[in-house]
Amino acid sequence: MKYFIANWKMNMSLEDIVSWLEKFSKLELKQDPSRHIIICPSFPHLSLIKEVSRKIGFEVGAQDLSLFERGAHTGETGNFQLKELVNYCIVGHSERKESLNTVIIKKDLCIKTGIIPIICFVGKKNLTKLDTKGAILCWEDPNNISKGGVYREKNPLEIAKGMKEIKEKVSKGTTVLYGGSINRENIKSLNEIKEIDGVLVGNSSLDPNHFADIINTAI
Amino acid sequence: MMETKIKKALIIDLASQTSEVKSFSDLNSYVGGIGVGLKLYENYKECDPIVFSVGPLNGFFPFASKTSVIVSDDGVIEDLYVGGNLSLRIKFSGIDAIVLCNKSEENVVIDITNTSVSFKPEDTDFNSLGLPGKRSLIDMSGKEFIVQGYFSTPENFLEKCLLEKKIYGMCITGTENYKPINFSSYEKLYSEILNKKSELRVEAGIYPSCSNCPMGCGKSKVGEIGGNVLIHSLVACHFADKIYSDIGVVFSCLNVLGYDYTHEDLESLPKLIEDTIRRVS
Repeated sequence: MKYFIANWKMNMSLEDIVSWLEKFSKLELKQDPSRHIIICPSFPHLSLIKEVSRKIGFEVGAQDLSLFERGAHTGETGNFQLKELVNYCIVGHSERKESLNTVIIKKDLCIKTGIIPIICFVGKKNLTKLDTKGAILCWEDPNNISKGGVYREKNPLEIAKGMKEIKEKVSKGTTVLYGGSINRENIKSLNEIKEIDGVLVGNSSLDPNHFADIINTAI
Repeated sequence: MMETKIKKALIIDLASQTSEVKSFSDLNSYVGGIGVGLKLYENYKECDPIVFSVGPLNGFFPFASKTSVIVSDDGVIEDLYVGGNLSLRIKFSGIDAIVLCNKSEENVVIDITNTSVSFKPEDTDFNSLGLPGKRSLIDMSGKEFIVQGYFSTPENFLEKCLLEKKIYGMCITGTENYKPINFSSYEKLYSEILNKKSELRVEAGIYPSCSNCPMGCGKSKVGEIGGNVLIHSLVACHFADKIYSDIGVVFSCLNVLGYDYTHEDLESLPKLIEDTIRRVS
């Protein structure tokens, strides 16, 4: 696995982040120069995360971007603004409940600006519409997403089968991540599935020790 | 013959308008790009340097096309990556890095031909500098950092720092020639990597291309910000991350050029860079 993406969602205060960074920077991570650790905080914290990213050894991503390119769109953050802070952006996460068209527009805006979109999808039927050169795909496995704090564990063999189907549908060489209740317990079995290029980690990334364990187990 | 055991830097002191080439054997473990740039920044920190650096693959392999720039933005160290032909010309000047130290008294244009440096007045005719076809022109006359009239940087830190140093332009002419030690293996590997175009994260376009890149994607116009340390030590294009984060490919490329880096060297690179940036911040 090469990609370890922490999606902090709307969970971290500035104080939480400072404490997270302090702890994470002291942890011993197994060294692998080809690995991508990407932290995706909320918009207000992007600057801070970017500023310390080099010191701590990770890259920065956003959790979403505006559907519009520029103009009178109060509260929105556009692709051209994100370009100065991030190399990656999560697009179409299931929690945002966006239509396929919205996801496609956002994905195209990322590509246009030179931001690598991490396109989340649940069902596999629209995969070909999302599979774009330059993008990273992330399967949010519906049978393995925590809901209301309840973790639903899926058999790794079923995950492997699902990932294989996805890899057969998308262009050769497309980076596909897995994003369903990743934690230090299931990462070992996920790491054995060769079709998984990386993981999108939600809740477990809020604890620096837990996130580091995931990275160290998978490398 | 290309140096593979040491790194060479052209140190330019703007205050005294002098320059010298220095060799650093201790910089080899930093590989290139951000690593070498940060270490040189640390070495010359007292002189408030701006460091341009290239990596071992620049000039020799496709998509290894960027130049790393280390600059301090009000005490925060930033690493930027510029497209165009700058990396090629720095490499074929026979150096791995250019370190701009201190501050000029007058507005100045810096003209570098291989390792010889001359300082020209602000109103110098840019087209009269260097050797056409072998030069990279950095124009600051519009107060914006523009390479070859097209490529810029993603943020304005670099412009701000260059203008503070009263640098209004640079011309880098590189005319050295290097032949890889095992040319037939090199040629084969070059073709193999060029054929990996489908693994890039960009589509081909009709825009100006960076050196050693046939894509013309348009995405490199504004350069890049910090990302994966291996990619940015080789100073490859961020959109070629799948190719140049494949350790096997990286070793093949380094090996065919005569570098003898080990796995341990590359594995220790992230830590080395993190430690350096912590020291200089």
